[in-house]
Amino acid sequence: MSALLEVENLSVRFRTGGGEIVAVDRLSFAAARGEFVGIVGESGSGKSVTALALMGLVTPPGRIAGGSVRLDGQELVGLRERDYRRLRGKRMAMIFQEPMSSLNPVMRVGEQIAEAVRWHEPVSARAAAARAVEMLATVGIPGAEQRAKAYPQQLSGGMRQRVMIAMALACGPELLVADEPTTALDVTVQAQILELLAGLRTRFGMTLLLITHDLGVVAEQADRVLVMYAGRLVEAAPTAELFAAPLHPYTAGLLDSIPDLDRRRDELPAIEGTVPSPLAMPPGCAFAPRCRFAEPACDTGPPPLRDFGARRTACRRDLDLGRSA
Amino acid sequence: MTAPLLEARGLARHFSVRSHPFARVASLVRAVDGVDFAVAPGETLGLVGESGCGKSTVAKLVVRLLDPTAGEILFEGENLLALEGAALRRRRADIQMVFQDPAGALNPRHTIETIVGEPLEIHGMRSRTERRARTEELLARVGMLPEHLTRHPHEFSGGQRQRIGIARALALRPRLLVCDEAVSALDVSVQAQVVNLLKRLQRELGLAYLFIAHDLSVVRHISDRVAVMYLGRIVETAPADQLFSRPHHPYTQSLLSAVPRPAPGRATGRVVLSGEVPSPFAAPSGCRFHPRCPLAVEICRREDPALRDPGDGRSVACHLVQPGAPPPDVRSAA
Repeated sequence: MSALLEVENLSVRFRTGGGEIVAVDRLSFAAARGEFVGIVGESGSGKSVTALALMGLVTPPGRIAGGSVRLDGQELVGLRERDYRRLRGKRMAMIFQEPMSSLNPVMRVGEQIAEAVRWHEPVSARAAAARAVEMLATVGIPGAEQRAKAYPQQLSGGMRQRVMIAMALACGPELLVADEPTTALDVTVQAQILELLAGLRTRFGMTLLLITHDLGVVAEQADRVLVMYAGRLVEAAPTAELFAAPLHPYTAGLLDSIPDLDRRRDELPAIEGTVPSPLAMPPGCAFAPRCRFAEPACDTGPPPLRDFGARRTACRRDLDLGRSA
Repeated sequence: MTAPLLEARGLARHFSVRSHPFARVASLVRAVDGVDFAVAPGETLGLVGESGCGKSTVAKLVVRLLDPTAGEILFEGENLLALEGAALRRRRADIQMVFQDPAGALNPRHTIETIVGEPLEIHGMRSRTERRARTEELLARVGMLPEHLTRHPHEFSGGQRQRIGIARALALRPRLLVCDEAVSALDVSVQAQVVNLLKRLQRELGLAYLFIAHDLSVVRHISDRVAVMYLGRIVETAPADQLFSRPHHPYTQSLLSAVPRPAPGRATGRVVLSGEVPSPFAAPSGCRFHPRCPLAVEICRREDPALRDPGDGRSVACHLVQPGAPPPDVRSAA
C-alpha cells in the first residue's frame, strides 16, 4: 500500500500568557490509501490540534513550528490558504464533534451540501442539488429528498452528524479526518454512526483518520491505532496487537483503567497523578512522573520512537506488558 | 432487602413547554412519568439511560431542586415532600449531590476552605477553628492536602476539582449521595481514581449512592443494582451482575450491545437499533420502546407494559418477558 498521508516531525506551538507551549511535538506517522487509523489520547494529548494542522486550520496564536505534512506526495505545510481551500472538501475533509457549530443554521441542509459541491466542481445548481439528495441517502437519512429541505435545528443530533458526513463526502475526498465524531451522541446512535463511517470507508476506498478519547471506538474497526500523550506519539501499532500487548506503560495503564462492561473488578488500576501542564513539561519522557516503571534514565530527554516490526513505541525500557484479559 | 433508605413511589415530573416559540398551546413533556425505585443503606443504585430519558430530572427531584408532579419520595419512611422549614433543612443534610462539572459547581472566587466549609456554616457550625479542622479532615478523606485550603478552584485539575466537590458534599455527613454524571467529564485515567475514591468512601462511611450516568461500564463497576430508564420510565431493574450478564428487556439488550468494547473481537452480535430516542413531546403509544424494538408485536403498540417481577428478583416492563420462560433475545430478530 502506498502512503496517502505522510506526517513527518510535525510540531505545533501556541503562544499563551505563560509562554509558548508545544501542543504537538515532532509527530511522525503515515496512513495508507483506504486505511483506517485511530488516534487516541486524553485531554491535552494534542490529538485535535494534529487534526487541525493536517487540514491547515491552525491559526494564531497557534502556528506550525516545523515538520512536513504530505498528501499524495504534495507538501501541505506552508501552502497558501487559496490552495488549501481547493483541497479542503475536495481531496481531504473533516467532521467535528458538534455538527451544529459547523452547519449554517439559516440554510437548508441540502443547499449547504450543494454549495460545497459547486465550490469544487463545475456542475449546475440542479446537478449539485441532486448530488446533495443522493449523499443524504448514502449516509442513511430516510426520506432524503424531504430532509434536504430541513434546517439543521429541525434534525436530531445523530441526523446532523449524518448531514456533516454527507457534506464531507460529497466531493469524494481521499482522506476523511473525524474528530470525536460520536462523542456528543448517545451510545445507540454512536453505534449507528461508527457502522456508517466504517462502511463508507470501504465503499469509497478513502483513508479514515478517527480521533477519539475512547479506546472502544477504534478497537473494532481501525487497522492501526496511534496513542498520543502530552503532545507526543507514544505508541503506534496494528489494533489487535496494541490491545493484546501494549508496549508503552501509558497505553497499558490506559487500557487497565477502563472499567470493563463484561467483568467486574473491585478496584480499578488507575494511573496516579495527572497529565503534566504544557507550561511545565518534564525534562524527559512526559509520562515518567506517573510511570510505575520509570528509572532515572527516563528523565534524560524525550525517549526516541523505536521500531518493533510493525510497531513503534517511545519508551526506553523493554517491558513485558502483555495483558491477562 | 433491608428497609430502604430512599424510596420513590410513582414519581413523576411533567413540564409544560412550547414546542417552538410561536406555538399557541404548550405541550406537556412527561420527563419522568411514574417511576418506582429504592436505595438501601450503604447500597449503590445505578440509574442509566440515554439523553432525554429523565435520569437527571430524577436526581433533581430526589434532592428537591424540583417538585414532583405526582408521587412520593420517602427517606427512612418519612415523606420528604411533606417537610418544610427546619425539618426540611435537617433532612437536606442527609442527601447531598455531586455534579458533573465541578468547575461550574464551585465558586471560582472562593478558596477551597470557604467552599468546603460553607455547608458547615449554613448548618450552624459557628466556630471558625472548628470548621477549619473539619474541612482539613474532609480534604484528607478525598486525598487532598491541608495546604490546598487557601487555593482557588482554577488552580486544580478536573479530577482534583471533583474531589473538592465530593468533600463539600460530605461536609454534613450525608447518608445518601446523588452523583449526576459525577465522573463523566474526566479523562479515563483520572476517572478511575475518582471511581476508586467513591468506592472507598462508601466502605468507610457507609454511604448510599444514587449513581446516574450514561457510561454503562462505569455504572457496572460501581453499582450493586441498576435501573435502566427509557423516555421517562424505568424499563428494567436488576442486581448489576445479572443485568449486565443477562439483560431481559430488549432495550437493555440493545443498549449493552451498542457499547464499543476496548477489546477487538469481543463484541459479538451487535444489535444496531434503528432510529433515535423519540421526542418526549410525542411519546409513542403502548410500550414507549416499541417503534425501535426489533421484537415488537401487536400488543406492544396498544398496551403500556407495567414493571413486573418475572420471578428472579428483577423487574422488567416488557410484554415479552414471561415468568418461567427464557427472556426475549433481540439478536434473534436481527
